[in-house]
Amino acid sequence: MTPFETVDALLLAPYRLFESPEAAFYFGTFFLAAASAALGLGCKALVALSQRSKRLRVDGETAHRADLSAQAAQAGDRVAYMAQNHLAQEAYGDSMALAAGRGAALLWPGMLTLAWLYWRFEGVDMPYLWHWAGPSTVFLPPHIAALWGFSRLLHPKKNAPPAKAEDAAQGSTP
Amino acid sequence: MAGVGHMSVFGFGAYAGAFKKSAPELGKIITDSIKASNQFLVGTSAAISSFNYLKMGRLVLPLAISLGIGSLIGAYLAAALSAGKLDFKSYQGYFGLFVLFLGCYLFYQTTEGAKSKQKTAKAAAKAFEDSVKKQKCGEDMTGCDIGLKIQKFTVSTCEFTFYGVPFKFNPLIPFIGGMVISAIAAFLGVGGGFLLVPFLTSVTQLPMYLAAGTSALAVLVSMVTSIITLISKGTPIEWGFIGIELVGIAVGSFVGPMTSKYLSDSLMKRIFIILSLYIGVGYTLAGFVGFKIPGV
Repeated sequence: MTPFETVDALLLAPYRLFESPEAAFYFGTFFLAAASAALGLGCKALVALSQRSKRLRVDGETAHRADLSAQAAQAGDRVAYMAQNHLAQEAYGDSMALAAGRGAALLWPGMLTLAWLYWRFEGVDMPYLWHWAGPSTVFLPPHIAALWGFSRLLHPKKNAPPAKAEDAAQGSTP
Repeated sequence: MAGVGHMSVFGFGAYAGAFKKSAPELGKIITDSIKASNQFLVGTSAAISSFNYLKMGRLVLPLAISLGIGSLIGAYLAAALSAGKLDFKSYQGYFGLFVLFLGCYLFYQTTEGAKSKQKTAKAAAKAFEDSVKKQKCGEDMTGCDIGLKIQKFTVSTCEFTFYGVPFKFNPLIPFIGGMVISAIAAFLGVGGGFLLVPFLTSVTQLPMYLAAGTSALAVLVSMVTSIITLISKGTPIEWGFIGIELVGIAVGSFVGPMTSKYLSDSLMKRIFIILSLYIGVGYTLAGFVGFKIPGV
């Protein structure tokens, strides 16, 4: 058995749990949507852990510069404001690059699962849906809902608005 | 660099080029697919990162609307007018010019002239920082009132104060800027966020957090418009390749912080500049002249 065949068999397993093909299809796809969301969040947490010290430094610098730009504006010092704002923007670029890494870690399982779904089911009519609906129509809504739901479960405090600019600089928090 | 991955590493470029004589329409569809995949990859990360800013309401609504409408028009026109019409060679040439421009700009920033300008700005920043420390008035000002108040907004004038300091800009400028940046981003299949934030901070002089939050909307609008326009015109997206690239970015982000003590930021920047210049020259020559340099 090749590695691809092994992965294929693994991904097909949840589709074999129901007798009815329609029920099996929806259960399998919803299961994969949730599983890939959980794997994505796990990977994102791992990447966030490895980035931790650099991220604290970069996000701290971004927040610090943004604070100083606000203080410069408050003091009426336009030159200092523009200079601090420029430095804040430079630091924000680094912060964005780190956030992109966390975003990629979050999304790769869903994208690869979607690719597999297209390989398996492209051209097949999606049960109970309109004729041009494809695997992404069935997969993406529960996947996005699972990402949101698991994220809420893991970080319930995120409901409250962040108190510091540092939180904002973090972009997507782990 | 996502575009380089699609064209040179995955080999979509050579694949699209192979249809030049036998099935030119197919070659153009693959070219559009490269653009859509680039945008998805770059834009998604930016959209995720920017989402928090939108949730926090850190956007200036009139500016966001002006920028958003401009982005929508620019992205739609560029995607709709170029979909199915741009052959790979031309796309590679334009993409090469863009990368070359980026490389030249980054190189310019390392020159003495640019450094002296940066030094002046940094000196002003440092002087203010020192004065704040001396006055011991450096309390954290974020999280409370962000200090921005819109005073006047018309078709030709937007006036706002930030902690009492008056600022003014013409809303047509972000509208045109958003349209141009989004059109370039949609035409080349690159993310526009990295251009929008500097544009907003320099042209409108908005505080960085508000510029980032406001540009988030424009990036979202531009990305969604461009990708939907391309998909609606029959452009396929290879999710598997996007997934593999995301794995690469995630692994790089995981390993990067561990290796950064061996590779300084300035060294990484120099490597990136050399790479950008090489790829930019290579793609421009390959696209417009038909001359290929090794590895590109």
